[in-house]
Amino acid sequence: MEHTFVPAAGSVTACAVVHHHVAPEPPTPFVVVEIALDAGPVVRSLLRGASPDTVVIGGRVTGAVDDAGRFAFVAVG
Amino acid sequence: MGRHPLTQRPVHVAGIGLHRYQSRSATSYAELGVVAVREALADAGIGWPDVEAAVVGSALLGMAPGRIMLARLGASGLSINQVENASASGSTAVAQAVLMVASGLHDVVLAVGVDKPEPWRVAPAQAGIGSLEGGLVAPFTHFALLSSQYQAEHGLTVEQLAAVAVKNHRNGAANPYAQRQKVRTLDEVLDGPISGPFTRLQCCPVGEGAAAVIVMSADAVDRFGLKPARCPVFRASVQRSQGFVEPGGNPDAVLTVDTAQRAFDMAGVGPRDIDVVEMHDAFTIEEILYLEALGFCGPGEAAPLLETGAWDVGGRCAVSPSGGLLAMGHPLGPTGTGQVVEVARQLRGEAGVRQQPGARYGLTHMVGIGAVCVVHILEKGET
Repeated sequence: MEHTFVPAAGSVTACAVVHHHVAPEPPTPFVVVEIALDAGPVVRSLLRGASPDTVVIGGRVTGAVDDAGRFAFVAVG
Repeated sequence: MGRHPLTQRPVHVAGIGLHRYQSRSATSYAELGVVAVREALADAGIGWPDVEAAVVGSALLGMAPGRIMLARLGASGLSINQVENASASGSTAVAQAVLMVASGLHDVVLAVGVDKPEPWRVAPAQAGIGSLEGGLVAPFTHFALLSSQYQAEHGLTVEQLAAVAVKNHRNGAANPYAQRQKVRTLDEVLDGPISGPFTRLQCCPVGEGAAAVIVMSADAVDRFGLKPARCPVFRASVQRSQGFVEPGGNPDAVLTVDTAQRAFDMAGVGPRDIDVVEMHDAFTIEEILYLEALGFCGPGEAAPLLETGAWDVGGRCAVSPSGGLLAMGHPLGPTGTGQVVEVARQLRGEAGVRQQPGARYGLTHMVGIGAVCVVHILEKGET
């Protein structure tokens, strides 16, 4: 299988603020988004560091790795 | 693809039975199932030895639940078949029972769905295929994301979405077999956030129960002297799984469109002919999405029509008159079988205060993780 690398940048197409989660991490509430990557694929991911009130459909996001090496998307702009 | 034998040999619903859906209890799954089967046998007016084969639908019970349960009715040596198809397990049990009779293999077959709320062990999570969301997208969040898309596209408000639950809780309050039997106000429904626009009462409850349907050939209906008017006939039985979906598309709705179209073609009727529907409304947005996917209305029209009463009992088409998964409950194995129980009751004219006047055609619809989809269309028995 060959890997195809695509840039982790795109726009939010759907979002949900999650208030109930079976695991302790991440603490609730957290935001899950669906992202149309500029390269074409559509993915779902945690939106790290987002305030639930500020996430908008069409908002720009990009992939980022935190200090613990965990990948997630963050809002930009 | 060959023609379903149902088009050559009619299959009737002869007996229906339920164990009330309820929160987890000390009652064994075997007892739940036996209660439903005994009720179906009594409803049909036949004995256990008359049943030639059984199909048991469950998702959470593990290996071989059928024989030890059914042996309580007598060790008759009948063929026992176990099916698991996630949320559609009970629907699949009915589909297999219908196929057994339609093919001519048997004349009297039992479909029984039963489950207890045991811990989930979902195979796709063990398939060796990782996901970016890493387990953060529980079913309610999957549908919350679909709701977010729909709200952005059609301007659906949280109040319009919650109105689905108000209707279905009202229906469930009139159903003695429902897990949730309480009328709820819009304010009550809007309380208690879970994920996205969903609140506790906009998500189906976790529970247990059992549902049983006895299907028969026309010869058997005649042989047992059953009243044809109490024996609705299956006009379509279709099972499909997810095909290719465009990125960002809604796989469950696309799958529903495909499955329903095949069912309508098989039955020779259209969405406008259907008087009563039991659908997979585990979360409120699903009723909106599937009403449109099933062709009952155009895109963006389901919620405004709900406000006019179109989907109420007595409206254009009664949608989830049992209370649906939101109020009747969704114990997995029983759910799809229980939908057929409700539609059969409606087509017999025996649904009491939940009765859709003049019901002639009914449709059941379930989706399951995978995704899979099962649709049945039934017609009122001859009067």
